Amino acid sequence: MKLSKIFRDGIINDNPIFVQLIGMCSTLAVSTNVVNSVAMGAAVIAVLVGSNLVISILRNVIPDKIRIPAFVVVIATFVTIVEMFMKAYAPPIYEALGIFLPLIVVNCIILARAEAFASKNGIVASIVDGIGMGIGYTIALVVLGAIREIFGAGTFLGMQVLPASYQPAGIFIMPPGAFILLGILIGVFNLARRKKSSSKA
Amino acid sequence: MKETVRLGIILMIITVVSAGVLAISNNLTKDRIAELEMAGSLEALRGIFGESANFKPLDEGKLAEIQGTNPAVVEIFEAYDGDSLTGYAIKHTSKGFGGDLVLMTGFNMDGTVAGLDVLEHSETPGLGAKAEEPEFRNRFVGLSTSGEITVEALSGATVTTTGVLAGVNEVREVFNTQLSN
Amino acid sequence: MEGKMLNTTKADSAVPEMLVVSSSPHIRSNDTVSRIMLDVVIALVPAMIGSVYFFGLNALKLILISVASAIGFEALTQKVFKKDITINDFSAVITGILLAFNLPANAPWWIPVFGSGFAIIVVKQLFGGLGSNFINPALAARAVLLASWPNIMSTYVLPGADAVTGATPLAIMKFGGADATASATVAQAGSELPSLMDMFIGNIGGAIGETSAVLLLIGALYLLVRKVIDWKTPVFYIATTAIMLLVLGVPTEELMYHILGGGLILGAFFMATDYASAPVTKLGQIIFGIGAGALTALIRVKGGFPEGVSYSILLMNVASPLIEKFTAPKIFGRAK
Repeated sequence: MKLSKIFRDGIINDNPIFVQLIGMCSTLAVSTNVVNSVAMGAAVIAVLVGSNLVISILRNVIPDKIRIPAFVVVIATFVTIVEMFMKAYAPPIYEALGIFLPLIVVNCIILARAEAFASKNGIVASIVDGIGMGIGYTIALVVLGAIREIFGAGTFLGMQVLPASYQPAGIFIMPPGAFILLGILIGVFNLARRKKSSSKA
Repeated sequence: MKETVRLGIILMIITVVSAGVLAISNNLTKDRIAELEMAGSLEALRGIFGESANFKPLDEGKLAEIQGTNPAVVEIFEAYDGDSLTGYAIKHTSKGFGGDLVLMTGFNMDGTVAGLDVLEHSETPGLGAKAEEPEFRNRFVGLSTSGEITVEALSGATVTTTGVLAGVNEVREVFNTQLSN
Repeated sequence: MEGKMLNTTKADSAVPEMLVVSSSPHIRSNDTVSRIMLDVVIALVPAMIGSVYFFGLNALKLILISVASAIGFEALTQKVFKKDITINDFSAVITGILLAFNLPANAPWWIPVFGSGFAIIVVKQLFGGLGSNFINPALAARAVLLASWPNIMSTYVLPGADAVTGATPLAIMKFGGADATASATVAQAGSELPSLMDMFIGNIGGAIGETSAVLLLIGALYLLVRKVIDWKTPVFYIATTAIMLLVLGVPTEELMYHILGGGLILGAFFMATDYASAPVTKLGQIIFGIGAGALTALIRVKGGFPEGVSYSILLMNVASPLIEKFTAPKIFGRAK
């Protein structure tokens, strides 16, 4: 498989949020603004690349019977490292992500890629897959975070972008707004994807 | 049997390596994390008692005694101006509308409220969440501790206001009966 | 009320909508979507006039903006989705009116615009348009507005041209003798409950279309006579609310305030009877009414808000497919 295809699959054809619909819980919870979305995306990319790399290296060493506990130990290790460094060097973001940072351990995306890709493919392909999936996840989060921040707070990256007379619509910051927006975004993304593939054929 | 041992050993090796890696990263970060945590409390305390004040945690035996009767109390700090004790700051919890509120309430030795800080909350944005804004918190500054403390409620956030007041009044009792003398 | 299936059988037929295509002979009736919708609009006219009488031109402005933007959004989405444009069937008009009825009189102009947009685009058209909305669009829009701008949506105006803000009777009962800890709006208004006569006529604080029990009842009676709505849901709804309130310890002298105040009459007759989002089976409608009544009483007495009609109906809307499934009539000649 070509590396460029693996990379593009992660972002578009198998986008974890818009197409595979996995890892939704943290997506809805942390995407209240762009900064949180980027930070969460970065944390997931770091964990995903790390765990894909290690699991790909160990794929012939780990016996099939204990692969799940082995994967979980590897993933949990990377999550804990990311957590420690975020707490030490980016405390405001650490507080904003709250429980969802340690919960990356149980994020379906990570285990799914370990099981479906890294345990069957070479080291380079696994790293590329981790980056592609991670970026796909981050893009979804940032789009959601940008819309929620602009309409829910009138700001973008913390700067006021809508006129001060705009009264922010709190619903965008709250969970129901996230659900509704994500549903609409999934629809739009897949419509665009379908149009593109039908124009190719 | 042999198979089980082999699996166990492989899993153990993975776990040991992982523990080693974690120990290293813990060593790299732990000092900075502790420093930041202290700075966080200090910021809230300085916000209440002013930039020049010094703080010392209350004697642990006394804190445990207070917590025995008032489980809402989390931590107590003594505030000093130079060498003289000027007041106490009590970190405590109370029930809000959306969950627990973590508050820091400061009392001056002359029997007035030095200030209030809302450290953590999960109140409704736009209503109860306004409790963390200075506009609301400053309503407490200077109020006497001799009687029940009341302030004007946040519009549309009766439950949050009641929760904050209940918490503040509980630690007011603590201050009056066990700290101020 | 928005979203009657094009149904050639009678309105209160116990046949689930998937069986609309039945074997011959078919009975033709004059019920068409737009005729039924027009009836509902007619039934809402008295309360509309009342809202303008009590709350002045602000109320008229809100209703007009709300209806106009509902129609506009309906046409726009149908154009974007390349569907037939059906704005002349009055269903968007009803959504617009009901939404405006749920607003306080001093709401700014963009509140009904945003609300109509949400009701029509998200709740109605994205789920397939007329008859396919799984919850009541106007109520869903109200819930979203309340979550987004809680201050605007819970600051009510008392009747009269000078637009003084004040508490609704339900808020007075809930937050009681306005002491220092009660909410600011209650404190401003004092804590005097209005007379029951004012409650009945609608001379009280509240959303513009929900206050006048008598005018809403006139409209409801028209719909009952025309057989557009069925008596079961509203009657079971209101009765259950009353019983539950008593069970939860509300004093009997306050009971009438609970029934006439807030959105109970409007909700029970005009929203809980929505064809698209409430059950179509007879037993289902009774269950719907009982469930909504129990929830309303629970929210009013035990919840954080003084009023619970809209959330109760929305929750029962969501439960409707399940209720329908359990109450569907048996079909002959089919193995179990």
